Amino acid sequence: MSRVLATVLAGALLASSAVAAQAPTSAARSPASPDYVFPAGSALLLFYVNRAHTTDFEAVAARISQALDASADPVRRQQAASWRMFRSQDSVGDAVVYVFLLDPVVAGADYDPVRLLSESLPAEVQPLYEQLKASVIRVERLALAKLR
Amino acid sequence: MNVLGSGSASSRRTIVAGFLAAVLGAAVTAQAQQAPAPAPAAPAQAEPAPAPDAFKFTSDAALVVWVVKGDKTADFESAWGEVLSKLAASGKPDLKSVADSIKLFKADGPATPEGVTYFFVIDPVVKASTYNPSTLLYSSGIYERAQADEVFNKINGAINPQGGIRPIALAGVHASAAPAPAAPAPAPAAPTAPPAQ
Repeated sequence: MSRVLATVLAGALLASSAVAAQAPTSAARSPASPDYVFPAGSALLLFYVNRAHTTDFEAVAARISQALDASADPVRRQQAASWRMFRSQDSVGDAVVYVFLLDPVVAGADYDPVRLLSESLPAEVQPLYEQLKASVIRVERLALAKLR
Repeated sequence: MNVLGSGSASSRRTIVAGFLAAVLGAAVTAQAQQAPAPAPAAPAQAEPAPAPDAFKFTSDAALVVWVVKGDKTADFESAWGEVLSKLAASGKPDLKSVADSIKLFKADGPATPEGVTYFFVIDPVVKASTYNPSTLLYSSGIYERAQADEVFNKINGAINPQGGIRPIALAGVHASAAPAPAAPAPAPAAPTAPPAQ
């Protein structure tokens, strides 16, 4: 899949950023980061992960998923229920691309992984954040309309 | 210009080879694409082995990325809407499963210079079937040849050859790491009669 996501989607992507840009905070339910909030429909999050750190990335993703599943907040559980995680079987350079499908999105909910960690796993957030920061090369976000 | 390939085996191979090249990073060129052609008469010589079908997935899931010309989105959407409806209603379980496994999405927002990006999210993949558009149009039995040509031309004319069509195999990540279920409790002992008083 070399260059596929990098080139084909480039024009359609909402934004691209390094995960390191968002440092963890300890505040529960701090204001949502607009980059990871979708007003309606569905969305794709594409995480370009260093091939050497896929295990770390998947471990963090698993913790986020667990935390959402176990959350007392019904919005977070709703997010978990419509969140599918895939790994591309091909690579883009040194990156393995993880495709997170949010179908449907929970309108207005924050999907920023660092915020979700800060909110739900405050005691673990720093090491998990470091793991995430070391593994993710960049993130791309794409809002979708579902036709069928 | 033929982006999808045709119903004939030879042209399907051409376009599948084109898709593979695209997936590997090469540009899809107009020269590499063939117009639909009738099936050839008896071959004069043995044909080379067919190229692998890039739309027959062995993975758990798949993504197919389509880049559609900005002024042809209505054609693309109506054609695929019809194809998927016909597959779902075909009465053949394998075709129905294929249709049921495809979710069709469109990138939100205005068209880019390349056009509008559409996605098939295929989950779960029907591994016994192909998602090759040419096969679905020409070999599934949902269309007569003339109808298939019409739908083919509609879809084919909508695709931006610069962006083309990209099938991407995906593996499911089972991140929902719920704890493994505890070992079942031992079965209750069979009831016994109370001791005689």
